[in-house]
Amino acid sequence: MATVTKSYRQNNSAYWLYLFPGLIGFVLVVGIPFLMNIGISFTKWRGIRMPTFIGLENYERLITDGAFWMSLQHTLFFVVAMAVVPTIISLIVASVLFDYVSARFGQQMSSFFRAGYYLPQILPISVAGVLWGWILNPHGVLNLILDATGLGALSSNWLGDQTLAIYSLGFVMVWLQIGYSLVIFMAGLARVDPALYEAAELDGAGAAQRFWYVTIPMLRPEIFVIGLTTTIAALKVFAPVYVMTNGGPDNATLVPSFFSYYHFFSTVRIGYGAAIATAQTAITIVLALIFLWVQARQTEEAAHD
Amino acid sequence: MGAVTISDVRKSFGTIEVLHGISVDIAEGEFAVLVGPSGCGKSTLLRMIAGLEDISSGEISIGDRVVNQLAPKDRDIAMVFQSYALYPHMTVAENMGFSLKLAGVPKPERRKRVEEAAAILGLTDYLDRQPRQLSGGQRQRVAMGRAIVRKPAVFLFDEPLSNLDAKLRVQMRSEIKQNHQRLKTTTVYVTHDQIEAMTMADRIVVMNAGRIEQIGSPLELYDTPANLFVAGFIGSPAMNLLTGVLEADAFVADGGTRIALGSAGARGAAGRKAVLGIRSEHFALAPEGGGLQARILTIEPTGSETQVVLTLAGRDIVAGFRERIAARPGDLLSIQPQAESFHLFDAETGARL
Repeated sequence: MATVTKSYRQNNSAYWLYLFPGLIGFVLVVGIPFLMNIGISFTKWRGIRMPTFIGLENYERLITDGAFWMSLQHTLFFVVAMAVVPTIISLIVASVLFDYVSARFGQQMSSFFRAGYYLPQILPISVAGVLWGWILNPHGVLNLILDATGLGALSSNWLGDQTLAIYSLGFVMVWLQIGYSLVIFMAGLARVDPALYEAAELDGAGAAQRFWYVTIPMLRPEIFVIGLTTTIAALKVFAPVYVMTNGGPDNATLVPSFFSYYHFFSTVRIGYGAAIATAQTAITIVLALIFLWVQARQTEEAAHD
Repeated sequence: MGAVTISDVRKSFGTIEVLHGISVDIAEGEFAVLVGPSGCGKSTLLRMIAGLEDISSGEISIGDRVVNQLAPKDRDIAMVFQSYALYPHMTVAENMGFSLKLAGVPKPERRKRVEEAAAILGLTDYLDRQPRQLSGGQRQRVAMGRAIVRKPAVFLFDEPLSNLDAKLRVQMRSEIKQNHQRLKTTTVYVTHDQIEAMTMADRIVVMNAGRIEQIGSPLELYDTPANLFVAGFIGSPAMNLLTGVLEADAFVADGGTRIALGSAGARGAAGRKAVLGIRSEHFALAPEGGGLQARILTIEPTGSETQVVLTLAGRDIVAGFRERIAARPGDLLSIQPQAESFHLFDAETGARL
């Protein structure tokens, strides 16, 4: 037995060899820059000459910086717009497509809709952002349509208005995110035994009750993964903000990623930018760990009882 | 209340008709089994009774109500699925009580009915478990429990034993039968296994290619199959079938072997091409040199009887004898088919002569 165990272990160590290429990439592209970023966050640096060590000064400034707290509030908003709302909508859409559309109008129709919802995901975000920038600008398609249909009173400066801008961005994010969760939920639904729905129907469950008592419990693993990945995406959202509003107007759509970018490249306060990025990373990691811990507990419960 | 009347029911998927006018009356309290090879339409028919498939034409009544337009939940039926279809995230008790919960039955009443059903099925100790913690047979019982708590007018079973191993299948077969005798609820049971059909049914409906071949009690089907399909489908081992031509007092098999027909004669079909059916138990051993000579292929003693595979008139046939047989494969065996138990079928139409 001992020799067997030993030879297994030797085999295992051979596997490490295969991890090297990825590991090198990770260390070079993620690990070292991340550690450097932490280091720089304790310095004052204008990008040229040597950084000067200033201890926690950047962090002291950060916690008193109103713009930073505002960007965190906006992050919460983006969690709703990118994780909560799209997940709920795509759960409903997925079960409508799966249950109703494909049963009534055939598989092809349902695939057509699925592809349609997924389309925003294959567009580069910059392209989608520019597109929506055109649609939402004061002389854009949306206002033209509102004017033409007699709803001119509703037309607004969607991305330029202090209060509207973030909702407009949120709407675009919902549009962008639905496809991702929809495709995963539909794959999950294909795995569910159709007899479960029939049994529920015979048990007297209507469409809403089948959704609540069968679809949601059966898709729990998918809902969890979607929740985790979209929440993380929301915590580090950057590109759509950069393309559509540049964090404006007057910081009304500012998010941490954009905030640190702004200090890195516009004000060239690199130490401060690094501090923002470090704080943001810490928040993301803590949230991800909480998520994973909850999931691990659920799986454990499932395995033990 | 629980009689099921099916009259001239048809089902089409697109332009393809899969059920061609089915009519069956299932009496109150009867245990009816729909049996046939896969693709014969038996499951489709059951699902139409349940309301899971639309009825293309014809009428289905449960009790005295036509249910064509009723939703499944309003048909007063309960169904047990092949996959059991238990809700994996609910406990056994929640699974069984789910329909009552949806129907708004108060909790104490719900618990009482679930416990009653659990007692009948021997599930009392498992009510707090989840389906994945149960064995196949227990899951099967939960699926039945879910049906029983609703006290429906009709139970529908869709191949409920197919996912069980052979031993459990025999055990669950008799449990289902016992429960039926206790509850006396009208039951429609679908299976492709003719032994299940024979052992459980009050009445069997044999289906093939979207049509009913014969309806009758298990022994009626066994003793007087209406056509070649039923003759070949019902019974294990399957009935031996020889093709040939009828003469006034004998059947001449294709190879020229003459088999005397005895007192029943050719049943007015002399000169016709026909199929002679002989069940394995309707052969007797003949004195050496008498009867028909058949070469032995294999001998399978089971103790209580000896099953012998023989070549007769160019066909492999199976014969069972109470006697123990000393001969070996390759030897000739003298056998005497019992003419009074012969089945004759028209070779062209397959109908019984």
